[in-house]
Amino acid sequence: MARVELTGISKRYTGGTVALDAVDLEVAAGEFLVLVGPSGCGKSTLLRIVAGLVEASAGDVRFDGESVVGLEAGQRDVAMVFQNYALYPHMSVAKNLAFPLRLAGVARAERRRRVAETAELLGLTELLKRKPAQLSGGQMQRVAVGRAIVRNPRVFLFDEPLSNLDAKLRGEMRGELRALHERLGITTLYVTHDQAEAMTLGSRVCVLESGRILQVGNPLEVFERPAARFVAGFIGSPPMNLVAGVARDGVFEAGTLRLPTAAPAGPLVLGVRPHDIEIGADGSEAEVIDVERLGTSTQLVCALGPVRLTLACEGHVTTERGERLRLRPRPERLHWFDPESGARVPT
Amino acid sequence: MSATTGRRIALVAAGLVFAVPLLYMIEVSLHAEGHGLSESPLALGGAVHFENYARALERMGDFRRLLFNTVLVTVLSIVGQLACCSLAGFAFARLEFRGRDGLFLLVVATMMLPDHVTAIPRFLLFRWMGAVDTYYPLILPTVLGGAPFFIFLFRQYFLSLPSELSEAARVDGASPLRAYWSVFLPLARPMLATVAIFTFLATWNDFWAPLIYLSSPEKRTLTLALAGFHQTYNTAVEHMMAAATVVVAPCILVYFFTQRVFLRGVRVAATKG
Ligand SMILES: Nc1ncnc2c1ncn2[C@@H]1O[C@H](COP(=O)(O)OP(=O)(O)OP(=O)(O)O)[C@@H](O)[C@H]1O
Ligand SMILES: [Mg+2]
Repeated sequence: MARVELTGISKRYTGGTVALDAVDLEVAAGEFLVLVGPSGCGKSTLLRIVAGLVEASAGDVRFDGESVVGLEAGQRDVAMVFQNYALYPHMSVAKNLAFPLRLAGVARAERRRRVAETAELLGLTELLKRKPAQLSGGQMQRVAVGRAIVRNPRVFLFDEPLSNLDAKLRGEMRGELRALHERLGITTLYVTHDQAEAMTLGSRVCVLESGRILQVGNPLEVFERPAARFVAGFIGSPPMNLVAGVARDGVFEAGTLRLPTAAPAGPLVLGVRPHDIEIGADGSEAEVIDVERLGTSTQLVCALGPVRLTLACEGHVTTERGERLRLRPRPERLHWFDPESGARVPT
Repeated sequence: MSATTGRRIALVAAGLVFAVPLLYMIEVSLHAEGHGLSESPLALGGAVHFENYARALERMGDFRRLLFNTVLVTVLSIVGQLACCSLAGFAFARLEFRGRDGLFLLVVATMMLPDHVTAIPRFLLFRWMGAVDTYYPLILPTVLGGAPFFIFLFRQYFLSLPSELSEAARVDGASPLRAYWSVFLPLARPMLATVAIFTFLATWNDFWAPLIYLSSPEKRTLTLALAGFHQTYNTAVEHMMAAATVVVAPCILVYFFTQRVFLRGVRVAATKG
């Protein structure tokens, strides 16, 4: 396991796309860091640069303080799990697992032992003789993970490994990956665009947008104090309400919504999570325009003039469409952002 | 008459166009010497003369030698073709190097050159190398990627495999050559079979290159011997047909047993070309 440092990493593809723009990131030895961001923000590019599959246009990649920029992918001692698993279709599961070991020149007996051990760990023992085409999606995923851990690499790289699985299996695999990381303690970079994975898997989350890092921190911190409007909208489900308005004399106004704010006068964006809005007598008047009953919670979409707010209530609520309510966002749970830069406005 | 009946009749008619000469060849080869063209078909009675075959082989010269030469040239061409075209196709599909796409365009462009245009420069080149009357001119052009079309086929095939496969191999520590050998080549089995069959048919039946380059009698291939037959024994049509039947039999057998692969190859060529 290694400490991974990225300094000033930029990547411009031939054709001019700037996939990464001066990214600095440090992953502690043994840490599980989740890279999250929308499609096309450069997550895979970053991972491939760490793996040595793509050459950065600028910047340095260091493992334990030593630059690996000149090293081929195979010499970096990293393992990668791909979104489409990339198992070798003509090899049995056992051969797939043994392939990196064979290339590393591990002796046959030792190879056997380690393949058996890995298969045991991942519950693949019964499947060793099968070809990838004879496996389910979840099993293929497990083999891909097995092929990564079998040679005990310094760094693990995962590129959206669960995105092809159904929701239930995804939940299970999340748990397994967490347990696996706890057990092996290998430095891990994990790419996803699923914010549930971002929240639950890693000890830290790094939010990328358009090739730039917007925020790095532990998941709760990122959830509680998003550093930018984009992060606020991206992390959390259902997503945070973001309302553009104006601050005047310490009051934020948007539609019929009036809220006290400490932000300086001028255009301002309010962020408030659906769970942080209460229904109360002293709130702003709103009309319910849509109700979504999810079983464990109910989501109400309300109109305050032209402004739309989603609120989430625990359990089953009898509110119907067209009803009028008074809404009160909890004052201590409000976030303010600059509409221009998207940066958080400190209050 | 339904559309399928019409189509069947058309297919049978087209089939006959190709089958009749073949059947006629075999038919003539079984007649008594001197009677192949004059007598009524064997099916209407008459003796079948299998001994024509023995006589024909005898008259072709050292048949074993001819067969050996032909098999040697064919096998080396196939092996060379497979190795070279798959390797070049792999490089064009999966390696990144300066000038790759331009080079590939150049390779594809040579497909436009008819063989007969390059025949004379090629001959001069081989004469300069002192390789006339050896097998090099028959084998080397295929080994050195003389079939840009197959390089193209392999490239398209490798491009159709997910790029993560080569990335996974790289991360697992495989060199490009190792990735080619352990991952891509095994996956290209259908392509390999197709190219092997095409190359077999082309080389086995080739008359042009042996005619240009080979002069020593002991180096001749079957097709050359067959032509020589024509000049020496131009009256013995029955024996000539027997010899021709023997020479084309392997092609017909190979085609018969590998129809599926063959057709798939034609289809790939049609959809990707
Ligand atoms: N080989 C390439 N050549 C040119 N541009 C590329 C290449 N690979 C990626 N890009 C571009 O770089 C940007 C970042 O791509 P990247 O694959 O890193 O995004 P991502 O965050 O992984 O997205 P996704 O969630 O869809 O996988 C995109 O605009 C993409 O179009
Ligand atoms: Mg990606």
